[in-house]
Order: sequence, then structure tokens, then C-alpha cells
Amino acid sequence: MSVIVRLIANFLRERPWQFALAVTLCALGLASAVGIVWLQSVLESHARRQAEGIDIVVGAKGSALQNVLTAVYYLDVPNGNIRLSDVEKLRSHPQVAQVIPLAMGDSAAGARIVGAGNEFVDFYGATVASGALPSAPLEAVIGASVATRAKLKIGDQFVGAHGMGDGAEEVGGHESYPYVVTGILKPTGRVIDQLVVTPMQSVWLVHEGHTGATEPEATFALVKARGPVAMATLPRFINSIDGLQAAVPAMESARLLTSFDWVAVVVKAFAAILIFAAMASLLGALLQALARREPEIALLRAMGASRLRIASLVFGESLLLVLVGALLAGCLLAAGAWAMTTFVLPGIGIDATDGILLWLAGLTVALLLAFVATIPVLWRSFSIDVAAQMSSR
Amino acid sequence: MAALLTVDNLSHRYNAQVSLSFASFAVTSGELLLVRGPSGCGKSTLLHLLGGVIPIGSNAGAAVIDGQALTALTGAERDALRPFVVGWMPQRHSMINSISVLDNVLLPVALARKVMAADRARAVDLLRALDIEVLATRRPAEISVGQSARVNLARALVTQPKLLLADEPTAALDAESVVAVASQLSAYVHGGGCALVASHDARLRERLLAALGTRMSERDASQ
Repeated sequence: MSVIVRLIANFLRERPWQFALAVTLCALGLASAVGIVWLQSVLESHARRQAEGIDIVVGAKGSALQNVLTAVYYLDVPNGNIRLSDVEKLRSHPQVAQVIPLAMGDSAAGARIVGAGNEFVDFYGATVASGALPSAPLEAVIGASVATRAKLKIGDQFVGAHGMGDGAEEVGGHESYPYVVTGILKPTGRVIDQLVVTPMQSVWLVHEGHTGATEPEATFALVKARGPVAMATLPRFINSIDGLQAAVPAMESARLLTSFDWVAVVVKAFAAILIFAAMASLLGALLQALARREPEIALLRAMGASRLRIASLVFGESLLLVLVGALLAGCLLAAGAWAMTTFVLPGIGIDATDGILLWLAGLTVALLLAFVATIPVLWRSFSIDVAAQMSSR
Repeated sequence: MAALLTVDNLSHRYNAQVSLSFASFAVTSGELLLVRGPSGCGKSTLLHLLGGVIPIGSNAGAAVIDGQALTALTGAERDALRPFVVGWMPQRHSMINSISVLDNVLLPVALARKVMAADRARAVDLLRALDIEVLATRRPAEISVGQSARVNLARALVTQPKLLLADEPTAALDAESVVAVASQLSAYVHGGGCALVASHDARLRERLLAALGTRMSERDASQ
């Protein structure tokens, strides 16, 4: 083993806690910075993926953002219902390529029950893993995540609870209308993995007499437009129909993400501060160590070590610390990605290549910062008075 | 025979108050020059100038080692003289504590190139000749001051330099260590080496004189 490598190894062994602190700070700084940028990219791409193919969400008049959050991401509650006859008007419009009406209102085992035709399943590109798609009211096909979480299997029965999300009632008066699981879908990485899909008639049946409506209603209609011109003119047409509101998911999502831009800036600034603190700690540790090692470096110089050799020793030490920190950061990021896909957002598509590229970019920045932080140490090591160090006893 | 080391009107100014002027001299291979003088007369400074760790100022005289004028060399070129042309045994017997005594002896070689089996064998031979072979695997913190001096001499000689600069090699050493150091210095000179030894240790002078006879000369450091 090269004498320089051995000296670096011995140097790091001498003060393990001091260097462990520098490595930990470096790992935390790097993991935070890369993690935030990665998370932002994952969430944006996840949001885009969920809205893929949905050009316009048609819902009851109210908040457009609320309609998108409910009909595309299943995160909110609807503004109200819309008449099915109005949806049929849309279907016959020449600029509309596809319309999928949805009926909502209940949930089961923490998953939302969506009343829709089997075209809804096709729309998300989902296929049946076992069983079959529903063919009669009160039959249901469940998303892959729902099946895992609720431990439901083909033939099992369950009862819907009135309401959606966390606010859903435990018992909603729907005990007389148990659903039966006829099929389980394969995972898709899209929102359908988290849903229970049943024919619209099931929702009407369960809520018969509850809504006071005089004609069949839907909660939303997902609309696919015929080209960009249709995208521009259809919302105006939809909004002209009494009781309907058009919301464009791409626009609403962009508006939502923009409103959270400042949070990303604050968190990125915090991560940058962490990285700088890590580099300051590294610089402090190296300077402190250098003060103790002046005789050793003077000896190396006296034995003929060139300044380049001394530079390789000093840089080798600091870059090794940053590399160890970066490896630790990589482990933290991998653990974070695993926790996210397992506990926080199961089924979310995380692109590992993106993560690795971002990690490499972060590592490059950290190495550059470490290089800069090491220059003062190198400067001091070059100005050691070899003659004085070799003379004093 | 042409001189391996020539020093001509060399001087060094530390600051406005402290300035040193050195005697001119020449030493050939197979000779030892003992540089005498009381503490502070500039013996160590002379060795630092010749060893290349202090640059020779302009108009501060000349020194030529093995045909190379030190004043014409850059810092990197002076560094490159150590350890294969000039072997240096500094006054301070410092070592790297985290590696073994044998690795400390081999340090000048390891810093310059890959350590070969022949280097290792030479290092062990030197430790044996200095009667400290048993210390090879020990750490520097586990050996005495006298033993450290001997390890330092072995380190200065392991590269078989043409010129050895030894700065107070026996200061504060016990008699046994003085004998070992003097014996190895004599062997080096008898083997064709050229040595410049700065010392005011009478014990070392006597030993060297007895072993080297006319191969040894003496001179005061300053003019």
C-alpha cells in the first residue's frame, strides 16, 4: 500500500469522532439537498403521470383546483354533482374524443369507491391480475394497493362508508348494500391502484333517495379533447352549460406547484447551509489536525516529498471524507426512496436513474466545495518551516 | 578526485540583525568533514542550505553538490536532490508515529518510488549494523532517544546517498549510541560516501578520528 494512503488511513483513525462529525454533516447536507430536488422531481412527474390523458375535468361549479384534486388525484372532496344528461351533451360534441363519467361519495378501507364503466379501468391502462371486471351493480374491482392494504380477495364482501378520505364515517348506513370483490387489478403506478371501481349504478343504488336528485347524476366527467384547438375552445363551451365547470389539470397542477415554490426555495437554502456547514466543519477538522501534524509534514518534506505529494496527502484526506459522506448520503437517499414507496406513497414511480444522476451532481458539487475548503489547509501545509521543525528538539 | 561538495563564500541572512557567513570548503567522496562550533554559530543553517530546505539567497555565495549548483535549482529541483543525492539526518530525530520503525527507515524510498525487496533488505542491514534490528516492527513511541537517533541515521543512509548531512547526530545520546552512530558513519565513508557532520560532541569526534584518520577533516562552521 502506498505510504500516502497509509498516512491518510492513520490520520483518519487518529481522531475518529471529529471526522465522523464532518462526514455526518456532509452526508446530511448532501442527502437533504439531493433528496429535496429528487423529491420535487418525483412528485412533479408523479402528478403529471396521474393526469396523463385527462385534458379537462368537468365538475360542479366551484373551485377548479378542488375539482382537479378530487377527480385526478383523489385528495379532496367534490364541489357537488353534475347531471348525466349534461355529460351526454359533451359526449356528442365533435371536439370531444372521450368522456368518462364518474360517481363518487363513499369509501371503503381507506380507498375511494369510484362508480364508472370499465372504460375507466382501460383508461388507466390497468389489467386484471385475478378475477374479472364487474358486470353488475355492487360488484367491484380493486386496485393492487387496496388489495394489499385491506387484505381483500376475490369473493370478499365489504361495505362502503359515507364520505371520502380521513373524514369517512365508519358506518354510513350502507350496510344493506355490501359490495363483492370480483377482480383485483395489476399495479400500474397510477392512482387507480388506490381505488375501488364499481359500475355507476352501484353508487346510485347505494345513495338512492339520499341526494334528492330528479335525474341520474355523476360527480365528474374526465374529458379527452380532439387536439389542441379543442383544448382551447372546449372549456368555454363546458362553462357555458349551466352547472358545469371545466378545469384543466395541467394548468391547475402548475398553479398549485408554483404556489409552493417558496417552500422548495427555503428547503433548498437550508440544504445549502447544511452543505456549507459540513465543509466548514471539514475545514476546521483539517486545520486542527494539520496544526498537530506540522512535524510529520515537515519530515515528509525533509525526506524529499514534493509539494505535489503533500497536496495529494491533504486533498486525499479531505476528498476521502467527502466520498464517505457522499456514500452515506446515497444510503440515506436509498432508504428514503424505499420508505416513500413503501409507506408514504405506495405505487409512486421513482426513477432510480434520476436519483443517481442527482446524487452524482451533488457529489461533484461537494467535491468542488471540499477542494475549495482544503485550499487554506494546503496553503498552511506549504508554508511549514521545514528547517525550524527539523531543528527544534 | 573532483570534490562532491563545494561551498564558496556562503552566507545567510535571517533578518537585519542576524546574518551568518560560512567558511569555504570542498569535500570529496570517501571523506568526512566535521563542522564544529558552539551552539548558534550556524552549523544547522549550513546543513539546511546544503540540504535545500532553505534557499540560498542571491549574492549569498555558492554551493555545488555532485556538479549541480544549488543557486541554479528551483525549489522542486532542490527537493528532488533528497534523498538519493543528499541523505539528511536532521537534528530533531522525528519519525512518523503511526508506522513501524522499519517503515520509517524506508520512508524516503517510499516517497520517491515503489519499495523493492532490495530496499527492504538494505534497511534491515542498516538496522542490524546499528544494533537495533529488533526494533524493526516497533512503533517510534516505543523506542528510546538513542535508538531514535540510530533509526534516523539508517533512514538517511537507506537510499545510499552520495552526500550525507548529519546535524548533531549524537547530541544527548548515551555512549553506546555514540559508538553505533560513529561506527556507521565511518562505514559509510569507507564505502565511498561523502559526509558533512555538524557536531560539537567530543566523543563522536574521537571515535571518527580513530576510525577514519586522514579521511576526516575538521572546520569551524563560520568564517
